[in-house]
Amino acid sequence: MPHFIEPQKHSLQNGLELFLLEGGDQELCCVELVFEAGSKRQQKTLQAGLCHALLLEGTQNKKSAEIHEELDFYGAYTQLDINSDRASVSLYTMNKYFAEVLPIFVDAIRGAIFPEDMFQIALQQKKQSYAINTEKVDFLARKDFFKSIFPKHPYGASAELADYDNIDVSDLRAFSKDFFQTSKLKVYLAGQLPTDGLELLNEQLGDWTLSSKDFDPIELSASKAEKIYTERDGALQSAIRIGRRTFNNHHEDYLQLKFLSVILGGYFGSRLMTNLREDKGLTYGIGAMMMGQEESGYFAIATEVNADSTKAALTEIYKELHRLREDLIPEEELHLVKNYVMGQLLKMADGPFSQVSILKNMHILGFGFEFYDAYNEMLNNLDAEKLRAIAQKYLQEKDLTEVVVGRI
Amino acid sequence: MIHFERFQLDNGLTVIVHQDKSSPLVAFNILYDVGARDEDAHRTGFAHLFEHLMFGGSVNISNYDEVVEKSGGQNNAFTTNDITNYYITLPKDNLEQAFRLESDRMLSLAFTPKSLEVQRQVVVEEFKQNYLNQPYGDILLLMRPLAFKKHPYQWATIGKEVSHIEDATMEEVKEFFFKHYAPNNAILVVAGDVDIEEVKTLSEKWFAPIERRDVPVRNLPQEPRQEEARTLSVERDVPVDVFYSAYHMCSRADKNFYATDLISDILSRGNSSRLYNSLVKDQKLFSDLDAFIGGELDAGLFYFAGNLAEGVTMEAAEKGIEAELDKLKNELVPANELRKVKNKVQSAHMFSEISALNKAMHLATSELIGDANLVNTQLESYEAVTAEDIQELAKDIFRKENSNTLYYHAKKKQDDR
Repeated sequence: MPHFIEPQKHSLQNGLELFLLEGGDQELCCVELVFEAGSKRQQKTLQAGLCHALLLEGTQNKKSAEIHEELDFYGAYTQLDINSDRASVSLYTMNKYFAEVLPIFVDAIRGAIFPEDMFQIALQQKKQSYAINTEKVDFLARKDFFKSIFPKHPYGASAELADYDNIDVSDLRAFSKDFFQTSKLKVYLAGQLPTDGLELLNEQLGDWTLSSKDFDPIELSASKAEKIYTERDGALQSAIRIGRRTFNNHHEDYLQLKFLSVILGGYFGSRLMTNLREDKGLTYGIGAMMMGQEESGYFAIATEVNADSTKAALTEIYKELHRLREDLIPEEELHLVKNYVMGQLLKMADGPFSQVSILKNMHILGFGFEFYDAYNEMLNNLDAEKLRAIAQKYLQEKDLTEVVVGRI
Repeated sequence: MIHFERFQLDNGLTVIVHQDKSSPLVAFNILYDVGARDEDAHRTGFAHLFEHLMFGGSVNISNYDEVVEKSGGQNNAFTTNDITNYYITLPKDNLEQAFRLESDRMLSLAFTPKSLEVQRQVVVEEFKQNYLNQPYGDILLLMRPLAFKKHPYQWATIGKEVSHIEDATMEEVKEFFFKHYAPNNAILVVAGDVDIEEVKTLSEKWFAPIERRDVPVRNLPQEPRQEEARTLSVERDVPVDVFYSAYHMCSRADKNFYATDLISDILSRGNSSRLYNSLVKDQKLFSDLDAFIGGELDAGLFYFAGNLAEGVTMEAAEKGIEAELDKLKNELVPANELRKVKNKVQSAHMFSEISALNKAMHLATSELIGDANLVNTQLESYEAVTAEDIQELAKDIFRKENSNTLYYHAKKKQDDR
């Protein structure tokens, strides 16, 4: 197991929680602000994503170009990440310029006015990307898959072309007011703490008025397994997605099912890779994953295969699922995958910058690093019988949605 | 500052060791000085196909990946037009496994017919997934032969066409291996919490028994100076018009490399860059526009790639870029702007030193270019660039007759409602 850095928790004067993960040889740090502003909070499609994308693009006093000119001058980088659950904005900087850069960064976010011209540029960009993405079999398969396993839930929602004509800058401002300007947020700092780092953070973030509002989980409506085929003439490859809705990391079967996903398709030598790629050459790659979200989770197999062999590929995938349900996983394979997972954790948690992203995700799910104690325990008590029972419980063919875009 | 030690075995293998005690993982990186530029024009894609075959079993070890995974490691590889690079990161206690695996692959492969048959198919699927079944996936397949008429950079690492991969024979595979995979054609870097003496001992133990091989001296046809602008216009079933152009630039080892790299930063690094501000934001000619250097080791290309905004013609888009290039040629870059891109390089350099694997790869390519210590001196080389250097270079690179332009048109849909 990795050696996790003990996070130091500080409260700024407004009660805002700051987590400090100190370490590293370079005089660098990353400050990340995590807002409860994921796309599941939006009232309108595209609202959260566009609002978030424009957080650093202009205030009352500064134009977008000035903000970026200043940040770039000090060699700072910013990064924006958003998913259904959270939105975050990160600042990467050399510590020697921390005192200059932090106020520029924080002011930009707190004073964001969402200028019309910047909005139009971002909207056009996103609209074009959407048009290009809909030419990709993989994108279309993913979209159908999530829609099927999360019907009427934000986790399954995605934009349609018409949505791009149905949003304006007032939607962004409204979203920002509720979810960025007054919302709950958590702050993380990884790397070396700059001189006067805590004082500067307190100065910049300590007077931010924060809402204490808690959000209720969004209702998950029943979903049933579907088979969804979209024919695309002349496609050279078919994209395949097979899987189901599951649950998040709090569920007692989560870790075992996650482990099964690794056996099936979570590493280069996995069963699906060995069968479909290394034995039959049907694909460049195939993977299986088990993901936990704040309010749910999913299990999915994903690949793009030679379109002339789509049926053969489906048959082989189901064969491998059948094997998981029927046969006990040999001791040697359990041992190999255990070592692989341990090594992967070491790599994932290599240094403060990697660890902070783990910590942040764990917080979203309602854990800290202690989650990995349970992980460790599971790995040290692997039981082939139990894993087979889990496969039988969750990986029955009749319960899996199957999406194919391409040719059958 | 990256401290390292360098030594060479009698068989010609160069080994570089960098100690980094901050991580429990060790990065083991081995670079072979062979890439797509070393291929026969009728057997393109071979260096990359070969990279796949390197995982199909070596003479004494049939299950490379399994051994890595059992050791808690992760591994991968990539092929470029210049090099083929293999790497493993693993817990430091298992370091010797990496030596065992990589030395056995260098000694010889198993050359099983099954592995060749399957990997040919896998690479064909990779070809489809990344180049043929993707919107705009064929752009580089079109650009390279447009810009290069003599130098083997005229084909992409995936190859010119699928048939070159489908027709590869076992004989050719073996010949390629013994011609290019040799201790005297490789650079090994070990970075992490390792003991230098231990790495020396392990290198001797595992690599020294491999014989030096007869590696042909590289003698590639040089690309003559381009004297006439070239253009290519295609129409594809894609949603957005794309403008692509490329200008010949200097090699990686050339003293002008650093100034050229800074030009790409001035034009296109970050939201305060010139192209974004002028052509995306103000004039709205492009919805997205990028300028970048191709990263080749021999004299390579300086690229422009942009998605046109709705309703903009190729002509207007091209004129917009030309006006920005004229500005570079006619006016000196202001001191502040030059300082900005240099600061950015400095910070990017510091952030790249966080990862042991990054450092290992960087040391290996620097050694190939001429000296591993370039990792430490390159910041000074960037610092030394002047506004005059940039103006001179811009005049030389961005000549109309040095340009290769691809107009990638979206097919007009009949039923466009």
